[in-house]
Amino acid sequence: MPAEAANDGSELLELMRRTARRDHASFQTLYRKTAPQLFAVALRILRHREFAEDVLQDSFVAIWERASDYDALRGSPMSWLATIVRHRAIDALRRLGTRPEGYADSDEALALLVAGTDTSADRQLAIGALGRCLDQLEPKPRDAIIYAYAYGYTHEELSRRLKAPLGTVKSWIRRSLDRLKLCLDG
Amino acid sequence: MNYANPKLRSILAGEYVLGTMPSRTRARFVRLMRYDADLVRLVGDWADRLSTIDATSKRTEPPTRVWSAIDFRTRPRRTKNMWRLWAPLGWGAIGAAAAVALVFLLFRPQPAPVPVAAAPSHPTVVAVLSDSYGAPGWIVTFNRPHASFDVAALRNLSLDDKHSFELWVIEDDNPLKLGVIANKRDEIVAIPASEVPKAGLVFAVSLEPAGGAPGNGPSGPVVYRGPILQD
Repeated sequence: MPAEAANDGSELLELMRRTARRDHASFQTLYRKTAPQLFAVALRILRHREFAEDVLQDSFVAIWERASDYDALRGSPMSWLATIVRHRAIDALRRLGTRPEGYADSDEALALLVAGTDTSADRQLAIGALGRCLDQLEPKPRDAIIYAYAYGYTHEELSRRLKAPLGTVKSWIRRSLDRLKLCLDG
Repeated sequence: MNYANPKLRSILAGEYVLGTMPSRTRARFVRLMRYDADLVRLVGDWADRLSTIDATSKRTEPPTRVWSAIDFRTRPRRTKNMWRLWAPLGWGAIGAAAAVALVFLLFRPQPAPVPVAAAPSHPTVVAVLSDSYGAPGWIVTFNRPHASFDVAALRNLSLDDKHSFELWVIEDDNPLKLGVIANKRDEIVAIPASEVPKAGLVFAVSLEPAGGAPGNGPSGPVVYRGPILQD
């Protein structure tokens, strides 16, 4: 769990509950607390400020409408919100049919996952666990997971980037997910 | 696909969170989640496991216009009687500009001109309905062959299931009920038009209990309006 969720977890839960009860002021606070991280998530996938702004806007309208669907079963509030934003950003990419002009691949997520520039103990610990488990994967299957999550790569894009047949990429992802689960839960 | 195999269920939940599922597969997976709480939990677990990666991105403050737009689209409307707001039309500069842009968009010169012999049956834009901020919500076209007003929502207008939007036409301060209209983008409701639209009349949309106003006049606030642009 990311540090934000660990530190503000109970506060975000309360804000989610109130948002579900149509308390608009709490919804605004929820936005203020989570938008910077969620905007970063949309920007990382879309690399285009305007598109990322649109995705953030549509995501929060959906969050307002669907807040009553949320419960702890769905993960931490931050993970739930991030999934909504990531899926909408990925949908926006699919609608565009291509990545926005000037889109440059970057290994930032990859590099940071390993290096961890933030020194907060919780975050180090959290990244440490996922990082350690990712490290146990072969390099390409591991990159497939990170590129898919961080940048919204499709199977086809992963296949081009990692220079592997589509079928191989798909089985890398499945095997990696299975091994990650065993490693993180074990 | 075998959704009963526990290992496969977890892997599919992981693929759902990753975002690698093709759109159609994802839609099917979302439908399955509605009746399968365990699948929901598996998805939640994966979201928690992988969201660690999000902590590596630098937090970025979005511009204030993003919240303004969200606020506008979600803010609950007051339900006091707003009859007095009928009178001044108060078309904001933005509303007028949006209307002009829309009309331009719809009346762009056609690449292939319609033969003169053919009856000019394409619909005519008669009004753009905007809120008090000038944001357009619906466009009304007059469909002459069908003698109807076709009311199309220009975007998704959030509404709980206890309320409906209802359209009225106002002449000399007297509202005439036209009926409930759609609130989902691109949904069109055709309303029989008893007469050809006249410039000077005004369309208004009020917020009503689900199904429409109980009486002959609006019972809720007027949230959108727009004058008929031409005869």
